[in-house]
Amino acid sequence: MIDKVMAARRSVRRFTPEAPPRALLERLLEAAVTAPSASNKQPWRFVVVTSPSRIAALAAEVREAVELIARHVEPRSESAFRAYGTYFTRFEAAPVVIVALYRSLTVLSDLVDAALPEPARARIAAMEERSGLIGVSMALQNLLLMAHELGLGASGMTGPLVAADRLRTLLEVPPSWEIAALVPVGYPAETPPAPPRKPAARVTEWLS
Amino acid sequence: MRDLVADRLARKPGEVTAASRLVDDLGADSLDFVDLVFAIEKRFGVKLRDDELDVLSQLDFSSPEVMRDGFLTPDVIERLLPALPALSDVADPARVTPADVFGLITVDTLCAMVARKQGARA
Repeated sequence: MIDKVMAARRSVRRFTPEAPPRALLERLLEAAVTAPSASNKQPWRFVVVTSPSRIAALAAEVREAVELIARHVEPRSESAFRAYGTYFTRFEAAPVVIVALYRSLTVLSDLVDAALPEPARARIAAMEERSGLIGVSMALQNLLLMAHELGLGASGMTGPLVAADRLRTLLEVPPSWEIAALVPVGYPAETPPAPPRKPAARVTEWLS
Repeated sequence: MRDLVADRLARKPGEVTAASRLVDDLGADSLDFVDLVFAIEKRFGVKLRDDELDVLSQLDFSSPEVMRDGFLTPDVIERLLPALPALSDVADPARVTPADVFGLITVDTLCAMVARKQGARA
């Protein structure tokens, strides 16, 4: 049942060196593209990185970006940030990294005339941006659940986006597309415990 | 045009040629098509929505004047011809479906539309 898969899924960050076969990776992507999206825009694309040297190059860029930021974090928090920043390159431990891209479709922004007040225009732009990001996020959840179901480990990582500009170049991301997350994928070399979750009742307000 | 189409459809520029069909070769769907039209209008400073493209994108496929027995009517085919000359080469003009029409749109079709608009303006 889906609830068991959702409850058992973990964010896996340690992997065995063996790369999953392409057929298995394709099943993840097939699961991803069944996700819903606003107006069925399917605002996602995926880049599957399987080359160790390319993964290392991505990680090197992230490490450099973390280093730059660390030099500008207030001194008493710098070491804590550096420790936190090591998480941003954990994807380099995986034999495969799937990069999820998304794009805003700006059809409504293009349709309105110049007289529309700026706040309304900004709200449309924000809606279009979120529409793309939410779409790819739902696709990523499908992908993560399918990875678990197939005995693979994976996790969704946004930390590497501190180097988004450099990653875009290395991954040849088209200009109007954005990187949503990096997803390291492989056979798990760990079974992380379930971190605590806030009960639904604690994060929900009912309005009647 | 090649860079614009490649960007919007997330393809490598080298994958896009003048003969590339937007739907069959580059994976575009109808929303991509609308998005491309806006992008082309911005990039080239032309209005494509005034005539042929409006005919194409706003056809009411439930209307008997547009569709008969699952195929586009001769009147509609005639209206689409200026934008899609390739329609005149189809094997049976009496049996053209909406999917056929979208399938005929190539990068070259878009270039020709822009060129025609720019020519008309000049």
